[in-house]
Amino acid sequence: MKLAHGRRVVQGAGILFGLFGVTGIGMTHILFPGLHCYACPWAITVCPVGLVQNLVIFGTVPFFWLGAMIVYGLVAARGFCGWFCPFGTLNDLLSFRKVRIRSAFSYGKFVVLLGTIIGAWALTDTVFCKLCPAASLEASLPYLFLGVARVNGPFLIHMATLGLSLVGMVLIARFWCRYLCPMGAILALFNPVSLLQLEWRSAECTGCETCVAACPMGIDPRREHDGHNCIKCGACTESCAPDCLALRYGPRRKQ
Amino acid sequence: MRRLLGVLSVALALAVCSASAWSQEGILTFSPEPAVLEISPGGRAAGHVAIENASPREADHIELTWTGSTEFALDPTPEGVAVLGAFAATSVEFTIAATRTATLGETRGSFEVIYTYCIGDLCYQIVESVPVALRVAAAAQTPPAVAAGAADAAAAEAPTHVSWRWIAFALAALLVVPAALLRREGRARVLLAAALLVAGGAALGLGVSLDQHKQAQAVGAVLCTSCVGIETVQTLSPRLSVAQAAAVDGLAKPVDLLVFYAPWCRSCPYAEGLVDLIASRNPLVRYRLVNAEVERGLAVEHGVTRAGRTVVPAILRVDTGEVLFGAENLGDRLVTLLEERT
Repeated sequence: MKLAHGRRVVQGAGILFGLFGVTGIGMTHILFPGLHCYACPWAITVCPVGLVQNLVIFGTVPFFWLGAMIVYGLVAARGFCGWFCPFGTLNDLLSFRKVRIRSAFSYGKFVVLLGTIIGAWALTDTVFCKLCPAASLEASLPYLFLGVARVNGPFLIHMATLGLSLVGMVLIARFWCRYLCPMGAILALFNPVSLLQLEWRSAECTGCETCVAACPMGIDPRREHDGHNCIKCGACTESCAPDCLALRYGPRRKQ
Repeated sequence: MRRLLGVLSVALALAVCSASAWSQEGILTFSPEPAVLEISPGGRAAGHVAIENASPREADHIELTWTGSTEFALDPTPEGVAVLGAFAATSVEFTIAATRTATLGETRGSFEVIYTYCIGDLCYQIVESVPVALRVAAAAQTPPAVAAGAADAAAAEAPTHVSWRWIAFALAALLVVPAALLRREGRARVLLAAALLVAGGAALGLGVSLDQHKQAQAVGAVLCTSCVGIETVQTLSPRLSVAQAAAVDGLAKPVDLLVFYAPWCRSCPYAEGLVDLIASRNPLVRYRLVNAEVERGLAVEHGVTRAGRTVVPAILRVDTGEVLFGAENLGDRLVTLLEERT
């Protein structure tokens, strides 16, 4: 149970970091390692997905963006989804039905990422932001109460995407993270090389499959511990009685 | 196979990202003449920058400033170009003055050129650096033949200025592909992670040296109402209805407005145009445009922020401190704002 508690504390820190603007320090130069809207009134960090759309529109060679993504990828990759991302935490809190993942659909997040970039290029507009459920929750709703937003077409579209995502999350654990998140798609590319890693020691495995039942992403942690769908949350390590699954932090071991 | 498809789609995304940026380069081309400027310490040298617009749209407000060594300065400040039409060309005359202590020899400096480029109602403020070669020599000691040779060398160097960035970006981004595809444990992973660490660090450093962190902050600090879907983009020409026009004509007291905008905000031209329309109808309405990115302090001072975020477009009535955000239904809201008594 210790790991689960530790993860809740880190997730809390992620939310605090996301909303640190409540102290009045304003926007910083930091890119957020997760899906967190920079239009959120209390955000102090820039959303990488929002920023890359703007960079495509401006025609900037995105060195700073790429560097930040590589660094986050090496530090924890999708571990940020499991441990830090506030929208991931919302998914986590609504994880009631840990059904198996539909592997083919899980490539949907790469399609969303591709569509986000092509959309920004073709329409010179931040198309994804207008559909993003994190923006619905963190920008549309707060600005309605702050007197900037009104109940209009774009607002209702935001509410619809948020509503659908929430229904998805309730019916399928981590629905957004599994199938649709473009930020998860970026971080997933670094899963095989990140310092945060899920290790499986096959010799001790009894094949009981409790880890499969425990995984909120619905994967088989024994086979897919470095795959693009593992969020390195460690739920499987706690369920594994013979201790053949473990989270490890450090350089990859040479074999 | 599926894993490969996923990675390929991301690689394609990166390629599209790169291609889009390529396609937006070279709207205007700048060629300083002469290619090497001969100048003596304490002296002056004149030249011009030939500007060519290779695009089907006009560019506006082209301005030149000196960003090279402080041993040189533009004197006087060159006159900008208000409008450069589609496929048109022009030139800007300049005179560079060198300090008496300017170091002898060949050196490179640069102009910073700022201009505005609009596609429909979407306007970009584009900043480019134009390199220029200088040769500082005591007067009458410069053999012309050497200067011509240096000019050719400078001309050959100029085009590579842009392309190395894309090559560097592509190399760093390409490292991501094997990282995503790796399946086996082993030495390859360790080496790849180390290579990525170097590439990531270099990209971050380069990005910071190019001020891209400031660009990221600017994108995050100013909220445009049509950018995250608070309202739809207003792309129509601003117009006043008969009732609105009558209300504007009936205003009897002077009103001062500040119109906050950002260069990349798509609804801002509509808000600016509407206020300009009202001000030209009734001279009692006066206004000033405020770039919210540049004059952030002014926005904070006047409360054109919500929870610390500057929101554009925003129209502030100075005497009452009342603010209108966004462009939706702006005509009616603006008339109501103007009609309110102090």
